[in-house]
Amino acid sequence: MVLVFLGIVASVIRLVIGRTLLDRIVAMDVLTIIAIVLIALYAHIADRFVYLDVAAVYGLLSFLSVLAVARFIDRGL
Amino acid sequence: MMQRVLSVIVIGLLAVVFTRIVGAYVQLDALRPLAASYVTLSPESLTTPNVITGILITYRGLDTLGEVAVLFMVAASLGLLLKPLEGQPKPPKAFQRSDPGEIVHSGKQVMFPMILTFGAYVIVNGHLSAGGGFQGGAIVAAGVMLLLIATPETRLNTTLLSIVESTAGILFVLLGILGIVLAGGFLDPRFLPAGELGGFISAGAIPLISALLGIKVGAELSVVIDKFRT
Amino acid sequence: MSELIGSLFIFSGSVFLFSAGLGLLRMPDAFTRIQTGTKATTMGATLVMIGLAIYHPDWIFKLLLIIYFVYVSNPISSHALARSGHRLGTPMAPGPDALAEIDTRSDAAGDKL
Repeated sequence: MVLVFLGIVASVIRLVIGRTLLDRIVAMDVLTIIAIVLIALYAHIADRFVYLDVAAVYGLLSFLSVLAVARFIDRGL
Repeated sequence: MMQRVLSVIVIGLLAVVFTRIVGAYVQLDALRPLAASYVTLSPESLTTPNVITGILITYRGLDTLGEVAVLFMVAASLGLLLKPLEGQPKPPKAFQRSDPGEIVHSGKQVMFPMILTFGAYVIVNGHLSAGGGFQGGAIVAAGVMLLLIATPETRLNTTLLSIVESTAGILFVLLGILGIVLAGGFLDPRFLPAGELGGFISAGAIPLISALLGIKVGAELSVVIDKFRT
Repeated sequence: MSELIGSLFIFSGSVFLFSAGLGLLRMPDAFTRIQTGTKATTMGATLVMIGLAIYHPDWIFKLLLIIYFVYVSNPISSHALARSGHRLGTPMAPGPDALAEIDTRSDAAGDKL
């Protein structure tokens, strides 16, 4: 758990520093995947099955948002 | 210079207001009486373990009707505002949309049915676990957005989607009126038999209402996304 | 016994995730950062989910669904991102550019984001 949190801290630092736009987008992507893992771990701790649905929706969200931003910076929507 | 000082003062005042509101927050030990009655009544009288869906559809059914009307108004006004005028030139050739490539295309072919199935699952499971009409409809619209991103030349049949959306809205209101006729009040789902708690066919007419809401929201948001293309 | 194996999987998964974050910080270039970001996080998330599946054998269907989602969708989105980044002309670390002849740069070279 501690390692996952350290990973979050590192990617947040990259999110803040990042020089080009691409850095920040990929930092966002990493953050959402880490959020999925955190939700799954919390579902394990609290021992409730329903929280896994939230993790699945988050997976969908990260994929679609990165795709949309990638299309957007190319030539407009 | 003066603007900066002014904005700092405003932010300071807002901070004071917010700390007072946050500081006055007292952790409640037990639910308030209205919430407690909702929580206990919902599994017994409506047989749905998901209290939120029960509240959204039955106990506050008129609010859901208002939300449906607001979504419809949003879609209609966006259609009015973003309609291309006759005199405007088309964007120049160099600015046309670029093809995202073959990997994204294959990925779309794999993921799009899966996303639609997941959306249908979330809609139908509204009364059992987390989900419901609005959430599943948003997931279906996200799948349509994936379709639009991966192949930019698709033409969505917006007239068919508008007809589907309006029909779903009309059926929703009809179900509500059936609730008035056959059971307690507007959108009361007790006129269909309630199975046992946690079963798939249970909780009266709530799955039907969820399904209609999901179809309506999905079609609406797809039309809205389609209007935003160049 | 199964708890020990499950905990081992979860631990290795979080090591991968931490290395992804570290790699994001230390890599020299935008494209290499994309690469370490997606590969390491996908692997880490998959390992953690497998570890959780060993812990709760009756959750396995939903966890498999999440694994499949993340496994299929993450590389696609990173590919699209890298493609757009290359078209935009993001500065690259020194080395051979294998894609330079195939893919032309964009015409709107006004703002380099």
